[in-house]
This record gives sequence, structure tokens and C-alpha cells, in this order.
Amino acid sequence: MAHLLIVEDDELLRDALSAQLMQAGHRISTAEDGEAALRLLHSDSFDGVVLDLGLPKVDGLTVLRQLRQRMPALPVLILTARDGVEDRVEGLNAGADDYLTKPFNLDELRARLQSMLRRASLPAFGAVASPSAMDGGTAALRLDPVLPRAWLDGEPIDLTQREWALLDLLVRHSGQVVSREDVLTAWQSEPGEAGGVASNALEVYVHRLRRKLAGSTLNIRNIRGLGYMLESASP
Amino acid sequence: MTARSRLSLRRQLLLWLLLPQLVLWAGGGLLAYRFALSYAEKGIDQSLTQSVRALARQVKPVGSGLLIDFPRAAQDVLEQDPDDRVSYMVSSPPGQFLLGNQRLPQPDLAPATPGDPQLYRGLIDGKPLRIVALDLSYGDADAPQTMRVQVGKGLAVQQRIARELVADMLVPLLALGLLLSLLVYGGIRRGLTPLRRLTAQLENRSVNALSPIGLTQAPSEVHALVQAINGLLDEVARNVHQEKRFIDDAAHQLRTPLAGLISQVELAQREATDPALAERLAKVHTGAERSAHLVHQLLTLARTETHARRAPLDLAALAREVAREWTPRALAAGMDLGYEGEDKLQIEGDPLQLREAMANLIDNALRYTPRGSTITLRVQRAPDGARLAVEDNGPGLNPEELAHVFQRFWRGSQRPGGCGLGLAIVQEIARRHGGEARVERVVPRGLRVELRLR
Repeated sequence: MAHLLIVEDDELLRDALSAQLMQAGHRISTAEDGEAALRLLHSDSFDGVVLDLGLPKVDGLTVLRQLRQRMPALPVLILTARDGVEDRVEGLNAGADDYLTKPFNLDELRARLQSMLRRASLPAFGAVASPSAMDGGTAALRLDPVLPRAWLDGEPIDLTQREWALLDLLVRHSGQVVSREDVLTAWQSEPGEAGGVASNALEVYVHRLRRKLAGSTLNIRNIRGLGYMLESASP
Repeated sequence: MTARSRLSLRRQLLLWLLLPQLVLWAGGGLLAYRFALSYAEKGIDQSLTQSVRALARQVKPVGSGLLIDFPRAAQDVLEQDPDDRVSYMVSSPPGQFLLGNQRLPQPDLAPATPGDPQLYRGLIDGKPLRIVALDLSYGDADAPQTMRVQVGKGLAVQQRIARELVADMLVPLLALGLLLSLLVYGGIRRGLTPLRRLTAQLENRSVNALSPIGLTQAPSEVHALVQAINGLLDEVARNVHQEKRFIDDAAHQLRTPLAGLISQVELAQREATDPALAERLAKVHTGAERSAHLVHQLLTLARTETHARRAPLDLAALAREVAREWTPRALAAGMDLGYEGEDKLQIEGDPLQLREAMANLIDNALRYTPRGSTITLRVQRAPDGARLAVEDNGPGLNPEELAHVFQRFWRGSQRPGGCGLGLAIVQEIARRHGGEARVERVVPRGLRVELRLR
């Protein structure tokens, strides 16, 4: 549970946001203009802020800049009704952690907010990074970045360093396309990696990794001309 | 560019400065020829006069007749050049051939005073001749007689001399004419430089550059023009700025309540246990989403018309990025979305607009092709820029529909949903990039929308 501040001048939206986030188990404070928001930020402490940019009295960007001076680490998600790049860039430059363009899906807002809060709670360096898990339907894949080791259905799988880096990348971006360049970059940053991998070597590694995942519901899908994507084929 | 088909200012100036010059030069040449001819004639006249006097001195009266004591050598000289024979004739009384190597035509009028040579022109065998006639008295004082000594010389030589003279003058004259033409041309070019610079400045401007034109060192006429244009640009800039502000404000004013509405409906849907109510709420949600989509498309179209920021970018990388972003949605819809084409293609473009165009095309393809279709995003190099295309193997459109797809708010009969602005936006974006969008059928089936970007 986190204490969140919602700054939004539209009553309908503010109400929906608080209801949604309260249902998600958060404690919510609201402000309907920039002045009120700054007052609340002064008097109370928050774990995260949802901030509309188009606010009366004191606009959102000003609130964000003032807030950043005193609380550089406070996660802020900005809402903007202008999808012009200026607002977005200006908002991110002023120190926003993420943004959403109105109108948005409530589930997406919750997901973004969760991952923003999770990132903020992580230590700056991944010394004690927790193992990430990929729910693959019946088969669960678990990765430990420290060891580094991987388990499929609780059984450890034997992976080379490159295979592990590839799998790690795919798991961290599961459901998204990982480009060949992303993989090559990840390989190059691996310790002990001399670099200079021929890009057709990648297919060989993908093929080997596919074999090692065989039998599970996990599959590495080839996305034509774009890269690879880890997907779990639910039965 | 219909204005181009009319004569340019430079051509007009050249025409009006060089054409009269050409006429004047030609006239000058003709005049020079005339002068040369007349000077050559004067020379001939002088030598003819001398010859006739010399010849007259050699004519001696013998008894009742006349005799020319003509040294052989002199005769040879006279008759040497067959082209340029010197003819002579002595007659007494005048006109009555006595001696000579040629019968020469008589002057129209008898010489006014004897002893004064008379010069005239005549024809022998159709060839022009310059003739001098000298009347002299001889014989006893009580019975004076008149003899006429004539010497003629062909004018061929004189004409040749005139021609040669003109020919000799022609080279320097032509050189002078050429030099003058070059100077005129250079002067015009130099004079028109500010105009050319102004044109270049205007041509190189992007459609949305509304800053005033800076043109120093321009003549007063051009300055007035620049000032007029700058005034206009300033006016347009103010209007565009106002329009941008209006669009931005409209975006905020329209989207925020829609966002509130959609969020509230989503909350209500979660709480609705009655299936009939849930169904109604789903309809409300769809309607709200559709309104939001329409607002987005309208704002995009309006923004495309007023904003454009072209910067160097890698079109191929951008296309792959957009395709990657759409892949999860494509897979969820059971489509095979892929990329084919260049690895890298550097162009000048507005990344936000190009992204919007691709998103619209992919969204269309996902909407209007059946499950299992293949959608390919393609970036190719072209001689005049780049080609960005989205191709599918869906049902395509019939030729009648193809003609309307770029019309705003047009929706195909087989195309429910959507607001009919997607392809209009795509076309507008292509135009903002100096090109155009085209839509065509793919053989054997499918649709291809291509953006030509320059």
C-alpha cells in the first residue's frame, strides 16, 4: 500500500482515479489545482504522484519542477491531454518518471503506476535484485540474475552465458519484441564478452534456446524483420 | 509552376538589351560596307583620272587621224589581269571608235568642259565598270576637232576590296559584340542576384517557417518586396500561433472530460453485476472510446496542418520501432505483422507525424483484414527520397472505393468503425513531407498504401 497524491482538475476523472487506486489498495489524497498540490506536498509525505499538466492557478510543469527540487526521488506520473511531443519531452525533462496521454485505460494506469512504484522501491544498484519470474501457464520459468541460473518447472536448465543473457532479455521484455540489436547490445555488455558477434549467430542461439524450452508452454516467436518475442502459449 | 512558362525577368532583360544591339550591329556592318565601297571607288577614280590623262598625252594627231604612241610595256600592264582589265578607247569625234582595246559605253551627258575628266558607271557584258571620259581638242585652230579618251576599270576589284575591308572589321566587331553581350549578361545576373537569393530563401523554407526573411544588401525595389512578404509572414505566423493554441486548448478541453467519462464507465463496468446493465455499459464504453478516437484523429489532422518539425532521422529504424510497438496488438488479433526493406534510411522528417501515419496504416490493416492476414511495413530507398508502405493481403478495396479513400470522413461500405480520417491524415502527412500517399490493390489480393517522401 502506498500513499498517492492525485492532482487533476477535472472532477469526473479525479473521482475515477481515486476510486480505481483505492480499490487497488492505495491511500489517496487529491488536489484540484497546482496551489493545493504544492500545499499538500509540503505538509504530507507521499510515495507517488499522479499529476495532470493542464492545471489551473499553478500549472503541472511548475508543480513538477518545484517538487523535484525538494524530492528528487518521488515517483511522478504525468497525465497530459496534449499528445504533442513538447509536453511529453518537457514533462520528462522536468523529472517525470512516466506519462500517459488522456484518455487512457484504467488498467494501464494502474500497471504503469505499479511498475513506477516498484522501480522506486528498488535500490540504485541491482546487488540484491530479486529473481524475476515468468509465468508460463503450466510451466514456470524462473531466472536468478545473481547466480546466474534459470529454472524451468523447478528444474535447473543448463545455459551458456549468451543463452542466459538472451533469455534474460526476452523474459524482461516478455510480450514485447526484442530486436536483434537489443540482443547484440546485451551480449556486448556481458562480462567476459569480447564482442563482435555475427548477427546470424543469433539465430543459432535462438534455435538452441528454443530446444531447451521445448516441452514448456514457452516459445520464442520469430517476428518477421523485427526480432524475437517470448510468448507463453496458454493451452 | 505556371509562372515559369512565362518569360523570366532575366530573359526579358536579355532580349530587350541584346536584340536591339544585334540590329544595331548589323546596321553598322552594312554601313561600314557602304563606306568601304565608296572609299574604294574614290581610289579607283583617282587612278582612272591619272591614267586617262597619261593616255591622252600619248595620243598624237597624225594627219587627219590619231595615233597612240603606246609603249608595249604599258599595254601589257593595262591588259595584264583578265579579271581586272583596264579598257581604253579613243574616239573622235566622241563616240566614233578610233583606237582602243574595247568599245566603252559613252557617258549620258557630254563633259561640260573639255579637259575635265568625267566619271561614270557603265556595263560591259553585264559587268559593272567605272569609266572616265576626257574630251580634248586637237588639230588646227581653224578646224578644231574633239577627241574623247576613255579608260574603264572593272568594279570587281573595288567590291572585293570593300568585302575584304568589312571582313577585316567583322572579327573585331564580333568580338566586341560578344564582349558587350557578356557584360550585359553579367550585369543582369548581378542585378538580379538579390531576387535570386530571395527566391532561394523562399524555396528552401519549410512550409511552416514563418520567421521574417533576412535580406541585407538588396536594392530598394527588392527591399520593398521583402518587407511586403515579411509583413504577410508575420500575419500568418500570428494566425498559426493562435490556431496552435486553439488546437492545444481544444485537445485539453475535449480529452479531459472524455478521459473522466471512460474511467467512470470502466469503474461502473467492474461493479455491474446485472448482465443487461453490463452490456449497456459496454456500449457506452465503446461509444466513448470512439469519440476519443475521433477527437484524437481530428486533433492529429489539425496539428498536421499547422505543425511540422522535420529533422534528420532513420526512417527504417523508426518503422521497425513502430512495428515492434504494434506487434503485441497484431498477435492478439491473430495477424502476422512484419517489416521488410532497408536496414537504415536517413531522411528529413517529422518523427511524430511519420509515427502517426504508420500507426494509422497499421491500425487500418488490423481493423479491415481478417484474422490470419499478413501485414508488412516496408521502407525502401527511391531516387527522389524514400517509400514507406503498409501492405496487407486482406480483401482490399474495389476501384470505385480506391478513388475515395483519401477523402475526409469517407468510410467504405465494408468498413465499419473508424471515423474516416485515418487515410486523410496519412495523405496530409505525406504532403507535409513533400510527397503524396497512394493506395493500390495488391495482386492477387490485398491493399497497399504507400507514402512517397522527399
